[in-house]
Amino acid sequence: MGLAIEMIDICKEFPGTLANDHVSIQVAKGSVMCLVGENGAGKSTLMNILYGLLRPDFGEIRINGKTVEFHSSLDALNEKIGMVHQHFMLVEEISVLENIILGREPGKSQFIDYEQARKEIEDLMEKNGMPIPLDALVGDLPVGMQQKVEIIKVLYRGADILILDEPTAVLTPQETDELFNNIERISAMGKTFVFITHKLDEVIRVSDFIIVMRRGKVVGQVKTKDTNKYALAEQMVGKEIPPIRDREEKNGEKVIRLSNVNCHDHKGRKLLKNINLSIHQGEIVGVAGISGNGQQALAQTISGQLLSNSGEITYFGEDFTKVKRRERLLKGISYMPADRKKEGLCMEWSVAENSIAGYHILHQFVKKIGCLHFINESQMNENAIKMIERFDIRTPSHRTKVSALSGGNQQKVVIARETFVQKPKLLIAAEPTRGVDIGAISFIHNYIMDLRNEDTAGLLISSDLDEIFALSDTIVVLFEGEIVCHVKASEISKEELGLYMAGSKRQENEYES
Amino acid sequence: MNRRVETAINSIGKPLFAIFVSLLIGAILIIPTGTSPIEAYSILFKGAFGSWQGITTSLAYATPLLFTGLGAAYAFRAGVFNIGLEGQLYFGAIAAALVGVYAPEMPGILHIILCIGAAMLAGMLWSILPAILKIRYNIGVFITYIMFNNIAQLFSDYLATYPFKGELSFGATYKVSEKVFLPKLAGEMIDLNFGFVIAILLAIFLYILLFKTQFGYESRAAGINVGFTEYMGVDAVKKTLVVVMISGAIAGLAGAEQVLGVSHRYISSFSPGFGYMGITVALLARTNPLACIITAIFFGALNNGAIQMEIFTNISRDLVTAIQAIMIIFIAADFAWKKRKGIKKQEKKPSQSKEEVA
Repeated sequence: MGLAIEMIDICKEFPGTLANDHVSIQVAKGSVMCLVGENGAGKSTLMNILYGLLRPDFGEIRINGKTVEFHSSLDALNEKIGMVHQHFMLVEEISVLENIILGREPGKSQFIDYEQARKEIEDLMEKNGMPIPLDALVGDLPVGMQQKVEIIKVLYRGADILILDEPTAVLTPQETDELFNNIERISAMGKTFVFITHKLDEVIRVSDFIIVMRRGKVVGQVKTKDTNKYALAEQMVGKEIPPIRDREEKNGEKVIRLSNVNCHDHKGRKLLKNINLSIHQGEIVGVAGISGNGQQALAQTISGQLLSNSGEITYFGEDFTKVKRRERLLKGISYMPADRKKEGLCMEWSVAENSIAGYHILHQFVKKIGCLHFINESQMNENAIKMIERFDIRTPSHRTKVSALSGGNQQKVVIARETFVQKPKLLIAAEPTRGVDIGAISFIHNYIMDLRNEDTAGLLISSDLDEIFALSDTIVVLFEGEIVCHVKASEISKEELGLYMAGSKRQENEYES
Repeated sequence: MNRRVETAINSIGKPLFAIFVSLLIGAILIIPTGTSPIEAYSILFKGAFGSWQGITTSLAYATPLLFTGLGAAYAFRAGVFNIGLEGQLYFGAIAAALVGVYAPEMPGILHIILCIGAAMLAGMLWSILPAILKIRYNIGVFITYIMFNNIAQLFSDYLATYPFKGELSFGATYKVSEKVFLPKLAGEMIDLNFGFVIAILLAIFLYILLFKTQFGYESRAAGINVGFTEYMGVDAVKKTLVVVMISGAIAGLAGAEQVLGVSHRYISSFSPGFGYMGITVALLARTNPLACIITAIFFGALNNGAIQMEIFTNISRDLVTAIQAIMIIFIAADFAWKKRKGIKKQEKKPSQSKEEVA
């Protein structure tokens, strides 16, 4: 059979990173190709280029042997490429039928021929063995069913090539099984699948052919039958020596202890399952895992933004289960959130205004006049000026809006606020160096290490394994809200960690701490 | 330096531009009537500011707008789109009137405070219901507030027309006790009363509250970025409720001013849309409480001058309504423009952020 997709020498650069570095891939017609790689490896960029959402800086795309140039996803659709996004693009308030025909409504001029649409879609569903209640509202359907709607929608538009971006991330195991059966059936009918995932078990199960990406490059192309998940994990993670750490031996007191902590969101989906974790003074616990496996919930449960639904949290032996964020913050639990633009900073505010957020209730920043608590502006400014000096924050003045600062300097404002005003006893650092330039990365790493050596307990959440290895004393792996691995950093290799992260392995014996 | 100039242009220049262009379009509308626009506008201006009587009347017109404008500005700053000011104002007015008429004998000052307190409480309670519906059941506040406005007005009118009807032949309560009249500031014939002073003080107070205090710091954060607010350890939902309540209380105060200072009784359908005009006042002032003083006086003057213009020329006072509507379009367009720019900025690097998340 011929080639359905050829991407030749694709390059795409974003400010600061080369997301795709001369990437070439080929996918045969009627096959299932898996694209695997760590976060930031460039998979999504490549697929967005294929789907016309991004334009490559360089390179050529051929579909069925014909060179094409996409200006938008509409062009890709015309070449019979369809994409099912990780986050569904459905309108929850209207019916399944209406969702499927949206954008390609049959019928004459302004009138929609619902009967014809229903017939066509029913044919499609029968042929592909995917029954869906056409008249139900999409919002009422379970996630797995919504995904079927997306797939049928893409097929209804006539796609021959289907890109599935992390399709199993939101599915239950049973739904995943069903999806794989459907993929097998549909690909047998000659459709080509491109499947993006981190989960190696799934890769082995569903694909014919695997392409591994790392740091914007293709580092491996193999037939599925010629490989196994261990080999894949090694290729995915690569072998890089972590920087030499200078850490003092510490044997400190227990700072925080989570026992059997469970958390679920307002829809009842489990975010954290039976978390047991202790962090000691002078210990950094690195949390590895693929984004969206409960890292945010873990950070927020410890910072106090999210109260656990069951289980117990103690802080220096004191019951902290129901203590809220404000009090935890005052008692020395600092938190650098992963998304500094949406959580860590108020982009419209000045450096000075941001420099006291959360700590604005401390007495040194408050002037009480009558019953009104005024912000002590001179103290606030003085504090900001000191921070700028201590952390070498490059800003024209403390009155400058933080949105005008570079990513690294913004992150410095966050880390300064969380550690300077009041020395933390426990620092939660989520993705502390994401989107930060190299100079700032090494500053932040050293600073976190210094804090550790001065007895601060640390929780480091990072999707960068190098960072985890460089800083952590202990490593835990979160997978689907559960700790599946809990080891000393010196006792595990990156390759093995990759397997835990991908969910294809889990630790049998409990870790003693 | 550049940045400062830019901010200044943004915060003063754009509203001035909106005013200028709306007046210009207003001038085009005047031309077909045969009167010269310059003459019409100069009569309008003279009517509004040309005499002591004109100025004080303009200020009287400005007073309720300043109250509702402040209510709106404060709520908008904190991220709550309170468009229910009109209804909160009606309930404030009827509450002040009923307490003013029916409360038992008591010293005057206490009675006034009681009337004003009742008005604020009524406005507050009426503002909080839609907010709770929104938080509990996710019912859009746009719809509930607008419906609540009608309910409040019609119910107040009913109270004044049936159970509490006064001696007049139409739907109005009895006159409130003379002890609760707000003192007039410019003679008996002009409506300007002590409420204007209260409104000015309130504007200053709100400015300080928003920009100088801990409470304001948290409110402003909630208005810009909820995630950040929660991260800071502030309960954003609670904050929203408090803000809505304050905003509603201010709207209730506007109603009390009209009853205690101007008409001295509740009169059915007395508001020509003070609540809605307050939204324009607030937006034109870029939700800055101090700037609201200026924009409210400007609107008061327009409304006052329009009456003079109607008397001396053949131009209807509705022209001013049209001009105000055009201003709203300009302000709204500016918001939409900003939003579009925001979206474009995000579009610029979607894949990068996606790459980071994926």
